[in-house]
Amino acid sequence: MKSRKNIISIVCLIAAVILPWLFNSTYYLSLFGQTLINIIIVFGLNFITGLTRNMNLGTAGIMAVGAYTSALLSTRLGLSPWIGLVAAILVGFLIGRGLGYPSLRISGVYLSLTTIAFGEIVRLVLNNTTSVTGGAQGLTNVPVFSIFGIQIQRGIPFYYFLLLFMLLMFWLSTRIVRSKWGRAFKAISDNPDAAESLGIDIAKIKILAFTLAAIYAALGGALYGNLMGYLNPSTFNFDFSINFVIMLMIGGIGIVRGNIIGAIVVTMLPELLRFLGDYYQLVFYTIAFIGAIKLPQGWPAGIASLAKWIARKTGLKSRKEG
Amino acid sequence: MLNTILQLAVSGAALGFVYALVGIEYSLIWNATGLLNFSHDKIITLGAYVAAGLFFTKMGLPIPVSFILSIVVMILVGFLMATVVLNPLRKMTTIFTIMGTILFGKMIYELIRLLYGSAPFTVPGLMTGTVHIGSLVIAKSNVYIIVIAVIVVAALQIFMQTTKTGKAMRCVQQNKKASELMGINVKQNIRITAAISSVICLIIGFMVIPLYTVSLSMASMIGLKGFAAGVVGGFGFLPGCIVGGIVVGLIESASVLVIPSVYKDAVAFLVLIIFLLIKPTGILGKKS
Amino acid sequence: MKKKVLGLLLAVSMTVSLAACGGAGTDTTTDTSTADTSTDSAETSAPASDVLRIGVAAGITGNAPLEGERMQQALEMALEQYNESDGSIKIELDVQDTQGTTAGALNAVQRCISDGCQVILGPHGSTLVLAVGDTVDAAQVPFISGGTSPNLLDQFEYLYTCRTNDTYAAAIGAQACVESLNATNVGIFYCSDDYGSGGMTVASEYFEEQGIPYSAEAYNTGDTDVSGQILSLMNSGADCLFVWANGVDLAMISRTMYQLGCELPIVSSSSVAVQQYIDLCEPEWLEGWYGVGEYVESSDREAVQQYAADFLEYTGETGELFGATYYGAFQAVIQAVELGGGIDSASIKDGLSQIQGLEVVLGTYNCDDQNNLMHECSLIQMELTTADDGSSVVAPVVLEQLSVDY
Repeated sequence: MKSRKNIISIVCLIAAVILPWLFNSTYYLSLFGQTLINIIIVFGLNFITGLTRNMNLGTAGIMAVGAYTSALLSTRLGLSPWIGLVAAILVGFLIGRGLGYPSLRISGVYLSLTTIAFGEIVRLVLNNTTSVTGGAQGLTNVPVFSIFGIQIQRGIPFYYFLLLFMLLMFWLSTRIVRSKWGRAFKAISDNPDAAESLGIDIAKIKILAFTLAAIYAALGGALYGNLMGYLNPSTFNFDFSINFVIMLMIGGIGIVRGNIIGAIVVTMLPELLRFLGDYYQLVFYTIAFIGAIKLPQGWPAGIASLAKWIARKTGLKSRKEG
Repeated sequence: MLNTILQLAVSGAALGFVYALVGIEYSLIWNATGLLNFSHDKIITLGAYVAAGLFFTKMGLPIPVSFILSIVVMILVGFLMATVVLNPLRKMTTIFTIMGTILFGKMIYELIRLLYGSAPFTVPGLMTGTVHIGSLVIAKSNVYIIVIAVIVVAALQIFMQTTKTGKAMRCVQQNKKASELMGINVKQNIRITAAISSVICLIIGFMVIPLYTVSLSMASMIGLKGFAAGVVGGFGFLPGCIVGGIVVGLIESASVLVIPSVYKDAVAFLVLIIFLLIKPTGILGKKS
Repeated sequence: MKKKVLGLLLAVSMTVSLAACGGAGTDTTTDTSTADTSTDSAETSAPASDVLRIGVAAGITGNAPLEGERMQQALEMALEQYNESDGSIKIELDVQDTQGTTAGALNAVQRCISDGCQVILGPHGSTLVLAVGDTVDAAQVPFISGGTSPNLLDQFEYLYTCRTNDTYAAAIGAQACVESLNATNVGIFYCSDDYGSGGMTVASEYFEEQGIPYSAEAYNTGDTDVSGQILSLMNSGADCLFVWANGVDLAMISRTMYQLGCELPIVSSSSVAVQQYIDLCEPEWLEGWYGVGEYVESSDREAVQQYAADFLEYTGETGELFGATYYGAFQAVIQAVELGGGIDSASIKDGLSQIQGLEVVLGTYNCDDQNNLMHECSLIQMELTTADDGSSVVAPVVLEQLSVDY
């Protein structure tokens, strides 16, 4: 069983590596880049909304702060994007702790309202502090990364850069989920009382989850700025936050590999559905809605059980005959 | 200066009643199902489009007739929402309940866009005009909203206290299992609640046409800020919604005197966060 | 052990590819539009060598779907009319939805580039143009947009704008406050988005130059009530108002001003002259408003009358600004092909830069050295009249056609 999973992973990796050579156009490469960044952000979201089951609908706001922090440092102060990245991580850390504390007192739907409010406030502030952020006109000329003086151009080079990053965060996420932190995350959502009696400091763990999620989101935001080269507050709205949760749901809540699938499906599907013309948003949301109600385990699990069901049916038939 | 402050207070309070009605419609569903209906702003929009778009504009029916026919349509929408969204989601975890209603809302939004197109339109001459109180001005439609909000709350309270269905709704609010054991059809009850909520959404959508015209995004802000009204006033407590709405409306309106006007929109959200942190049960709230 | 080796191999191969691409040292990204479509396994292939494929990045879904719809309709009409009257060039329209977002616009434009479009019309909206500009420049495809933000001037080599830039339009509006209305203190009310804030910046600079004191209030899109801001402006000592807002908010703004009893003269952005937005207001709310007009239905210019009649016949809808903007852009492309001598991107770009004296709906196209094609607008005033059935109607009346030095 395990070796089958490994084979699938290796095949996917190889596919990811040769992908840009098969689809070598600015359109697809940018799309793949956005997908990779979305994967990273969903890894983070997985910690709170996936494992500790705390709803976060303000991901876009955190992403925006990370993006603007990094971009402002590199455009206004001329610092390297690497410093911007570190700054974004720091900012994410601060926001995570900042949002983590309210999450102790507020839960469930109330928390979701708080995160929505947070996202909206961030967007409004970014939009209206024009002298600092460029306001509604946005921020242009966000530079690209360089390693040892060689620029990593947008396009194929940056795709590999993002792929490496994504794999790094994937490895990190998997390690965390399997560690005692990850088990603690699950414990406090499944059975808080038992968790407490086992000596888990619920407050500390909740804040930790939020901090991790915020770091991932801020990091993703910084990379997003580098990918697009341009930032505008209007991008980071409530709908954007919703998309990340949809990715989480489709992939299977709590499953790190599922995060990857979810992000890929949600980012790429609207593009693949372009042929539906005016109807593609409706089709996409209907599919997502049906998925939410009928496939709460996520689509991969749903498809797997469908496959098993079919196998069983055909298996039974042949058993009867034989 | 005093005049300005008074005028701001009047405008703020008037807006507050819109928030209050929004608080009422989602509180009904919250009380009955424990779900927050994130699609409510789209239902409000749908109400406006059905009344003004379908019956009035496309079919050319007079306004009162359009409104009554829309009530029928919205009742059906409520039933649909309960059957397809609310009842199935009730048993699932928070993430799905929230996302389920959000996605349902997006589906409605897309349907409206595909059926009616994207151009905003209005009903000329609908509830236009102002009422003067001394040197203060208030739009007629705002006055109607205030009156209707009070009537709705009063009517709902009477309904919940005296009629059989209403009493059943209160039972379902307090304890679903016990209600079921007592023979109350919980699913049916939720359908009725959703229908009532949808009709209130229709009222809101219709009443704000003179304020915001009929457009796809007409209710998104009042939808989000309406959450603040419910939280501030007492989550799930109907008369509390009125208090909460007025408070939020007043604070928002008064804020232009102290902070740059662009941040006015952020004020409602800030108030929401503060109340959630300090007093989540709201000003009048009792149960937690 | 096996996994480790594999992982190492992967890392090595990726680093090698990274170095190979990064070390090239040039600073273009990957490709030009025609070069990569042969390796592209996407659904569409490059157009046949004698076909002019015009990319259209329109906001069909998203926050301004009406504009996207009109854009598409006007271009389809333009194509049909071209095929009927001339048809010497084979033209295809490649319409992609920007969804009104920066990411969507980028994807739409990149799709057009991948499809081999030699020229792109849109995206509409300065924010979106800023988002896609670098990409289109790198692909060396000329694009024509109706974006009007001052931030677009001198920003992208391949961008051509076909609507009077806000720098001029807002300046004309601000000038009208001072010269036509004799304002001594102006109150600016603007939308906090890029359009409104761009106009505010230009107007405030003008007032500062002229030594006129001013105050400013802003609102966000979706604001539920602007009484606070309007009251502040009424109390600020202003004797004239300068409003730079979006058409969808016009109804709420004009209603509030009317209901609060504001009697100051108002100069507004062009949406006040757009019929779709006028229809959202009660006539008395807009009576007497001045404005900067771009597309005015009552104008006696033949190009306007013809477009309005054609559009009504073709779509059943009233002609308006957004469609007319891109209708003109289409004509510019045709002329550019003629002047530049070819349908490839370089020739079209050449041709666009040479355009002088081309009559279109909005005025006359003259390409300046910042690649702006349009420098005119009109000063209008909203006049209240009584229609045959006794109802009041308000409509813009052109006071003056103005153009700017450039």
